Parts: sequence; C-alpha cells; structure tokens
Amino acid sequence: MLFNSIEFAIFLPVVFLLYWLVFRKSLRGQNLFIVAVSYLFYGWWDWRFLFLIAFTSLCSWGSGLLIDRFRHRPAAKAVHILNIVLNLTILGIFKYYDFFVTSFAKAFLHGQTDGLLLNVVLPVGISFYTFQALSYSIDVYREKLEPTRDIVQFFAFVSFFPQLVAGPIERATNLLPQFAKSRTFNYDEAVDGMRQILWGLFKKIAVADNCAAYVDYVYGSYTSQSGVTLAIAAVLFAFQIYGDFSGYSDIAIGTSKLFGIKLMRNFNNPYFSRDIAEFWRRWHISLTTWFRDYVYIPLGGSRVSKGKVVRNTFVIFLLSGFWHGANWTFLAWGAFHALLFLPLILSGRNRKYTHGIAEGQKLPSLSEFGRMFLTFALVTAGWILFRADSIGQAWHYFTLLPHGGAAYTEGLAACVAFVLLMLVMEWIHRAGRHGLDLRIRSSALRYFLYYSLIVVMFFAYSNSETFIYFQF
Amino acid sequence: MKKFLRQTLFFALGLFLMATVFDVVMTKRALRMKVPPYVSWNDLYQHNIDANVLIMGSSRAYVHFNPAIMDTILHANCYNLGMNGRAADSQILRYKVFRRRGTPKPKLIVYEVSHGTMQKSNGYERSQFVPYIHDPYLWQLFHKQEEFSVADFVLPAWRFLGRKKMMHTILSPASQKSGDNPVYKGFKGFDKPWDGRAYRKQKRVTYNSDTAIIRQFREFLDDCRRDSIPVVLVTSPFYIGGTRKMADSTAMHAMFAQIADDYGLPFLDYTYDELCHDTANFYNTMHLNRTGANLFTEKVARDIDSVMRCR
Repeated sequence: MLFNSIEFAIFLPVVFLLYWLVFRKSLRGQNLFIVAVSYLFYGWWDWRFLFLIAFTSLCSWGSGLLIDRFRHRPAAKAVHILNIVLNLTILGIFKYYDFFVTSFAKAFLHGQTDGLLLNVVLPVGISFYTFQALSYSIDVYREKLEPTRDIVQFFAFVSFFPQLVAGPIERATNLLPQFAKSRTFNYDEAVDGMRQILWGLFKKIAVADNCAAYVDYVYGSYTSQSGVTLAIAAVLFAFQIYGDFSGYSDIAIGTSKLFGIKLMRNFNNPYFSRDIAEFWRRWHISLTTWFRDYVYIPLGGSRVSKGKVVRNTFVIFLLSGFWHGANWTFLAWGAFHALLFLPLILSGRNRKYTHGIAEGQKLPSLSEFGRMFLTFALVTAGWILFRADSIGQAWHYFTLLPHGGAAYTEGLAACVAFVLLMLVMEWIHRAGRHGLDLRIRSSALRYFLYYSLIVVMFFAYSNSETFIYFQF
Repeated sequence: MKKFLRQTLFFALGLFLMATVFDVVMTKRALRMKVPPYVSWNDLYQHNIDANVLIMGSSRAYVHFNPAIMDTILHANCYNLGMNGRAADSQILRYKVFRRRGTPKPKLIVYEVSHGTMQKSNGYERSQFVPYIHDPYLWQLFHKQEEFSVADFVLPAWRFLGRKKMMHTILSPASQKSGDNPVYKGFKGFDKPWDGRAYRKQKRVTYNSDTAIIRQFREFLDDCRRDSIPVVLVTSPFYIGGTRKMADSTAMHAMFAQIADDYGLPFLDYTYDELCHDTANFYNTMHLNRTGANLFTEKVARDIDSVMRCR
C-alpha cells in the first residue's frame, strides 16, 4: 500500500479512529492492533512475505531473551552472532545472492548462470526491517537495552506500518519503550503530523514524480541527449531522490505522530550542507547513524591510526553503498563519497559545520552559498553513479556532459518551479522539524497555504509512482 | 481529540467543496468542447446526431469514412461514430448511448473491422470518457474493465487527477472552437504526408483477439438482426507494406469472413485494394490521409450502394 494511494487515504483514518476510540484503554490491545494493521499494510503488497517479517521478528526477540538469560557467558555471544548471521543470510539470499553469482559467473564461468540464479522477488523494505531488528539484539547484547518479554510490543516495534517499508530505521532504544507505555492523544503533535504528511506528499507528488518523468526520459535516451540536458537531468535526479525519500520519511514521521509515536528525524535539509561531512549528518540520518554506531565505532572510529581511519571510512561508505542494492554502481557511489569524506576526517575538519546554517540570518553569506553549491555539485556527481545501470553507463554519461547543445525542455518548467518552492519552504523552516513547520499565527493564512499545496499537487500529479527506496 | 476531529472534518469539507466547484466547472466546459475526441461525445449527449446511416469502428473508421461523400452517394444522412484507439466493446457502448434516448434505429450500420476491433483495451485514449463517466452506461463498462476506479465515480474532481493534458485542453479557450480542420459529423480528415521513417522503424506486429469482445460483437450483431438493422462489415485499406508486417492478417480476415458468413452480412475487404499500394494515400500504415479517405469513401459508398440494392 503506497502512502500516495487512495487505499492509504481510506486506511489511515479508519485505523486512526479505531486506535484512539476503540483500543485506547488497553495498551496491549493498542499494540496488537498496531501489529494487525501493520501486517495488513504490508500484506497488501504481498502477503507471503509476512512470514519473513514474522520470522525475523521472532528470531531477534528470542535472541534478546536468550542473550539476557546467558548474560556474561559464551552462549550469549554465540546467540548474538547466530542472530546476526541469520538475519544477514536472509537479507543476502533475497538481495545479494543473484548479484554475487552473476559477478562470479562473469569472472570465471564466461557469464553462464544457467540453473544458478534464484530469481526471487526482493521483499519490500527487507533492508529496513532487518537492520531495525538487528539493532535490538545488538543493543541487548551490549547491555544498552533491557530485553522485552512482551512479544506483541516487539512485533509492533519491527512492523510499525509507517516506517516498515522505507524507514526511518528506528533504534530499539527509541521506539521500543514507546510501545511499552500508554499513549495519550496530543493535539499539537497530531496537527504537526498532518502538516508533515502534507509536506511529504508535496515532495513526493509535485517534486519527485515530476522530476522522475524528466529524468527517466533523459536516462532512457542519454546517448542522444545534449550535455546541457544531461546536466539538468543529473540535478533533477538529486531532487527526485531527495523529494522521494525525504517525502516518504516525512509521511512516515507525520503518520506516527498521529498515533502518539515519535520517530527519529531522517533528513535535515541535506542540500544546504556546507561540506560532505555535514551532508552525511543530514542525509538518511537513521542509516548513517546505524552504521556509525554498529560498524564504525566498534572498528575504532576516528580514534585509531590514520591507516585504520581510512579503512574504517571506506568500510562504512562501501557498506552504505552496498546496503542500497546489489550493483557495482552503489559500491562506486559509496567509494566516491569515502574519497570526498577522507580529506575532511584526516585533517580533523569533519565536524566543522555542526551548527545551523545561516543562523539568525535570512540568507546565507556568499562563502556559505559557495560551499553549499560545491557540496551539492559533488553530491549530484555521486548521484550519476547511483542512478546509472552500470559503471560503464555512468562513465559514458560523465563523458557526454561537456558536450553542449540545447536543453530538452518538456516538463522542465514545472520541475524547476516545484523544486524552487520546496527549497524556499525548507530554507525558511530550516530550523524547524520539517518544511511545513509553520510559525504563522493567522489560521486563515495557514489554511490558505495548505489548500494551495493541495491544489498544486492536484495539477502536478502525474502517475502514482512507487517510492525509490522501496527497492532497497 | 474532538477538536482535532472537528478541524480535520472542517478541512476535508473545504476540500470537498473546492473539488465540487472544480468538477462542475470542468464538466460544463468539457461538454462545450468542439475538439476531438470530445466533440463526437458531446454531439451524442446533446442529441445533435440526426442520422440514418451510422459508421462504426476504431480510428480507422474515424479518419477513413467521410460522411459528406457517403451522404451524396447513398442519399442518406450519415454520422461517423469511429473512435480512436478503442475496440468493439467501446464502439458498441457508443452506439448504445446513441440509441438509448429514443433515437430512431438507423437504416444501415457500416462497421469497419480490422486488427484492433477485437483487441482488449490497454487503457489507451481512456481520458475521452472522463467528462461522461457519471453516465451509468459508461460506468458499468469501465468499472468492470478496471479502467476507472470507484473514486473516479464518487469523489468530485478525482477523475481529472493525473490527466494534465486533458485538463489543459478543457481549460484552453481554443477547445471551445472548432478550429481550422473541424470534425465533420464525426469524421476527421488529416492532410498529413506519408511518414516513411516510422514505417521503416515499424516492427512485425501480432494482434490478439479477446474472446469476451468477440462475444460482445456477436451479441451486437444479434441485436441488429433482431431490430432488422442491416450491417455491412468493411475492412478499409492498410498500406500494403503494413499488411505484410502483420503476423496474423490472414487469420484476422478469416475470422471476420466467418462472422459475416454466420450472420449473412456483406463483408467488403479492401486489404489488397489498389489504394493500398500508393503511399500518397496514407499518412501511416494504418491510416489514410484526407485524399486517400475521400477516394476510399467514394469507392466503398458505391460498393455499399450496389450491395444494398442487390439485397
């Protein structure tokens, strides 16, 4: 079930009313209800994979209990490792097996893969919920979290429908305790949630889907396009993927607020970043911090020799790239970002921009703007690798960029207008929680803004495109 | 909670009112459009069709049969109900819309049958139905075919969602005028030259017939027989090179010949007519240009005239 579908527009109010009016008196009832509707939400896509989520949840929940039972004994470590291996094996089979076999066959078997490939459908959101479930057992093993004995709470934590298929990848330390205590309806949070949903829908429908039409056309015929068109498509893809993914996150976070659940922030205006390090503190925050906490820091982080810092940096960026999918392009994208990040971390300048952007000012200074522009240009170059079907195609795309020629303009004006509207709104509300975190007192003006956004979305709506991050 | 629900309801009500106003305005404008494909639908719904000979079929009927020429030769009043990109199920639906308001039965139906007649629709040219979707006749068919959703039917303005080109056409002042090359009694002639590039690129095509549509087509012929309405089946010209690229053209013609035989109908097949050998008559392999259409209409009208005289 897509957030931008009529089914979800019916599903959400029905679930909301039942949750607060029928199940509010019983915490267990509310959690059971969350699990039931979350499984319905996921099963709408393919009910067979519900068994996979249930199995993943059951393994992580059981391993949490066993780790606690065998605390400080070798068995605890064995259970912990077994759970990680099990989860990563499931992920590996569904997501990476065919890739490895194909790559191996290309290298050693002249590309012959007859009878070797599984050709299985990738379950939607498998990378998201696997990492979320893993965070629980790791935190229990590290004694950062008490294991829960309530299986319903745990199933609700793994399958909570707003963030089940495309994140944010929640930590058990943040989300699980919220299912352990009774929720009360908070008017201000609910209203803010509605605003955030509206803003997320705008980013998805107006920005991402319109940019997608242009980008798909250009990438589909890139060899016959001018260099200017290719450059425009690369920039629009940067906004497409941002609008798509951050839009989804906004809808997920906003929806959760309606149910009295607070999810972590996943995007914090990444295209206003002044260097790559700041970009990675603002882009897909839940994944970046996951790798930081569970991979980078255990490897020693930056408090080791310079050689190991280089290794650690490459490890997390390559893993981050590989997490996105089984393709060399994602690994190249990760390596590209590692190369951009390394000079900053080796020179100790990776935390230079931890304060807000243009704080107390309406506009950025010229030097800030220059840094933002340069960072955006580098990130956009990385997206060419990310978007391409192969490294060869990405390289070809790069080589065609310097060729001049006229720009392809079909649908371009609308894309530019929607992107500018998004950037202006996010710049104005950059210190807020999302792009529609309004501080306008006049309710008439607020309503005017909401209706205007809906009208824009109505006229901008193209096709109900699925979310890019569903495939990851 | 109550405050939140009240405000949400209030907001939704505002949205519903806005959508209703938009829907009414768009529908009113759509019903005044003079451009294809809406102009023929508007003729139907506004009872502007006073015809005793009907031409039915796909876009090949729409651009091949000139009613002005048919009227002269057959001494009749013709109207072309041909419609772009749609199969017999939609074509028959249009006929039913024509008939159900007490319109007298036609004296003759000329049905253009070819590769697309029995082919299941893939949603192509679906937006032409949008302004009229509240007509139960249309709703029944398209709801079953899943070309439209319940939301299109019950929610105001929803049916326009995602149809940018259509909304632009409806809102454009030009759509309220006939333009330089108006549709004449459902017929549109195109003065386009032959597109040799598209022809060279054209690959071999296979057309699949849908059994449900074949059944519907036969039911339609049953109805015509019951109402004593004579029907003539016609396969109008294809460019000869295009016919060669059709994988199953022989089987297709055999099927129509069989249907004609079953119902005792005349079947006029122009697939290998002399018109088919000259690109000057076509703008693509499937469609005659205005010159070709006029030549063809004259020929087919004379043939129909002689066939009907013999019966």
